[in-house]
Amino acid sequence: MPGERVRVVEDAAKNKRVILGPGLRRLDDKVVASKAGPLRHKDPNTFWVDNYQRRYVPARGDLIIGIVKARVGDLYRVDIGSADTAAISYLAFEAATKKNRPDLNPGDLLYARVLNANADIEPELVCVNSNGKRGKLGVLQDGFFFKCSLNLARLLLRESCPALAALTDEMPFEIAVGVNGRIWVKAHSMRETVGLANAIMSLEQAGYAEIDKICGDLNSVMQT
Amino acid sequence: MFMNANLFEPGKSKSERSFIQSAVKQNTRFDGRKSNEFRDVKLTFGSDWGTVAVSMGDTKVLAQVSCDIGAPSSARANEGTLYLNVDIKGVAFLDEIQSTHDQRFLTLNSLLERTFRSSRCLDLESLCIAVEQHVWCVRVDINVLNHDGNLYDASTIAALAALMHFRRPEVSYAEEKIHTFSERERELMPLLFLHYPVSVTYCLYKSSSNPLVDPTLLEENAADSIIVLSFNSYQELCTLNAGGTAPTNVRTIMKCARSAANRSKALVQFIRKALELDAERRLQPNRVFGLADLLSDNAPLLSFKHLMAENVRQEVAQKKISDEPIPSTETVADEQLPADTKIEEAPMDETTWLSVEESTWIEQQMKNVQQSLAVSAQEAGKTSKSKPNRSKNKASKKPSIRNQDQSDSEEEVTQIL
Amino acid sequence: MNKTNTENDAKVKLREMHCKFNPLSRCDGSVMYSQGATVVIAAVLGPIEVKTQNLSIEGSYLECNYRPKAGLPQVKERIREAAIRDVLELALLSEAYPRAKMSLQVQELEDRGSIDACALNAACLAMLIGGLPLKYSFAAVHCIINEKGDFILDPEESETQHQKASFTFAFDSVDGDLLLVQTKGAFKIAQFNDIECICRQASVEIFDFYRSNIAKYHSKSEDQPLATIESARSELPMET
Repeated sequence: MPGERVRVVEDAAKNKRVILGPGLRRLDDKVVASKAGPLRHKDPNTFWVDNYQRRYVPARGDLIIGIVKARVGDLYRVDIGSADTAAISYLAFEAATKKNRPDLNPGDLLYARVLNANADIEPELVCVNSNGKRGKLGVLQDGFFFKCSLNLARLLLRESCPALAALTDEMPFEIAVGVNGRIWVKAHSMRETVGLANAIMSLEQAGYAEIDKICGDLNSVMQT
Repeated sequence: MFMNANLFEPGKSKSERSFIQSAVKQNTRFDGRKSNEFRDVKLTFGSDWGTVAVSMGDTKVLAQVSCDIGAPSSARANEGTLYLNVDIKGVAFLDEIQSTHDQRFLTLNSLLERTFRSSRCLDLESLCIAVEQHVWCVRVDINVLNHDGNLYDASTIAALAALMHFRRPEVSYAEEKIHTFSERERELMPLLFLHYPVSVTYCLYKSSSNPLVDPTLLEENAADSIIVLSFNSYQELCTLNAGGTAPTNVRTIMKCARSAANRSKALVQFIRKALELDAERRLQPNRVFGLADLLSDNAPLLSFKHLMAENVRQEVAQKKISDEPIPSTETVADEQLPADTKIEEAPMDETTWLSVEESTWIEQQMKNVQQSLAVSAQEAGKTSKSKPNRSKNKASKKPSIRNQDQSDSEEEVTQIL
Repeated sequence: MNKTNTENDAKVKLREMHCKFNPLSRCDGSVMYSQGATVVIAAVLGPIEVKTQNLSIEGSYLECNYRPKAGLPQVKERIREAAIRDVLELALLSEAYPRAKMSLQVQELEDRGSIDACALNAACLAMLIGGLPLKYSFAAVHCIINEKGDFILDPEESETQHQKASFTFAFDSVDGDLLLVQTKGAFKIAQFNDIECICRQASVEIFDFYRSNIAKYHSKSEDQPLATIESARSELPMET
């Protein structure tokens, strides 16, 4: 609960440096919570408070899905679900030059990485890695796109997420998960995509134990 | 309403739109409904008279009816007033930009005004206390709590249920003084209705000729046009609101109108039934009623599917006893519908119209049409005379919307002829 | 306390509290909160874009709205709104999100006494659920002195008809400091102190309620499936 001292972290801090994640802050030599939720710990020294959240706060290096809102001079304005709209330069795409501009229109979906994030300035996005290659980033075509809670997105992005593994057993599909709580999926047919999206959304309520059941449901849908 | 580029909304990005369009073409809906299937409607009555919370899927609306004594307008000195106020700035639309806001507010407000006020569903003369001096002013406040598509239906259901639930105190008027009886002195009085209108919303897409009923927010935002039809329990048309860019033909609208009429009738029945149950509960002493029920799990569920399932069973039983009432109401609908199509300036006989329509109609309803055909043939002349004024009013409202449909419908008319 | 317990008419228990988290789909955090028959919905959104006129570089701008069930907001509602904003401004850790706006809406669903306290409690829960950073949580308690001079904690609407004085206190969760005091009517200082004691004790109960419900919510969303919603959801894809 907000305002409470977190003794565990303070004890840990006596021996080594600790990293305080979201939901924790330092007041003089005390560690105080600012959000409500269970305390999480990741070795060796990271602590944070886990809570259910829907609003995205940009952080450097995050992979996000944004919607192009408008073009302003050399920039595109992209809505990424945070307080400010993000900006992406014309040149932040693969093989883009001043002459050869990417063709983006308002309403397009963009899978991008956050280059710069600070509370005081507009976040900046890129669609290329440091070698100038686009990798998996770029414009997302077709498919279906929906919003979910940030927790679900993070859960899916975890390397060992059993949900995605179980779903890939059922059928092949493409998925892009933005940490800003937006998910894009594409499967072979419309029906599969819809089923898949429903399955992922039901994960929001369910949790790990239900994954098998949801996959079973999905399977039966595909057969009917 | 449709072209607004508020990209925060679901259904506004390009890929979502094209996805929904192609999903509609393949007759798939995102939540697994059929194209003519409705979401379940739930009612919760508050502990005050005239408080109703309606939920349709994730769309939640709260309606509150209140009344006080005021002066009538000079034009209608012997009538009470009905004021409708839609409040959408509340918890549902925190994130919306102002222009969308205003547009949505205007559409919703005008729909409600037309459905309840212009159709004169309340008997306003009964709200008069003293001519030109004191009348009851009934005020309906609609608070949108959550918006997940089809605000129109949810708010009309909420407004109607709240009005039907409402009880006003009785007054006596003597020697220029009004005495209001408290609840203890005299029982409160329900409002008097002339008819009970409820709306049904359809979404049309360019990619498909099949309209979707009861759209979710996603479907609504991706739609090319939206048709809102209000019918009363006698299956008379009260409001028709069609807009957008999808080409529509008469046949689609007729199809919508028919199923909307049936749906409205069922909805009004459902509201009545829910009210009965609520009245029963009120008689039981020492119970906490009210919207606190929204939080408890064991509260009695006043849901459409639940109550109507019982109803169907009863109706089947009734049908066995007498086949009378059902065909007779059907004819009412059929009389009304041709009257409605007249607006399209279609120079045609109702009977031919119906017989063509018949071929495209759903098999299940075939029998009813044949029954009604005979009746409507007899009454064809009668209907055109007894056609209520309001459909004429509507004709004047509609041309702007209809312009582009005109060519479409005319073509069809020539085909038919 | 001792005095009120001996008299039969006095009431020193809060009414039953219930809450439901995230009943609304379009905001960052929402809660439907009831205390007895009084029901309110609170919803928060933030941090979001702020209008330039309200922009502040040091901290976030807090917007607070209270909506009555019927009619447009009047003076009474504005006062309530201001009270909520005052308390929230104290509790909110606004420097976490500069140049942003936090928006809070409270919608009254049913007023059956102590609506002020309910609105504040709902606001606090909504902030907690929406994941907005707070310095501390807070709880508000309403109490009246009736015509016989008895203290009634968290009164029903019927009990407030003949009140001599009414009090609303808000406490913070860390130091138990007073964040808000609203009083109406005539009373003695001794009575005020007594009532503050009663309310302080009641606020502990509210904090426990917050804690247990949020813990329940978090454990539910992680490990145990929510039986009802789950079954409803899993049916959906079946029909496609």
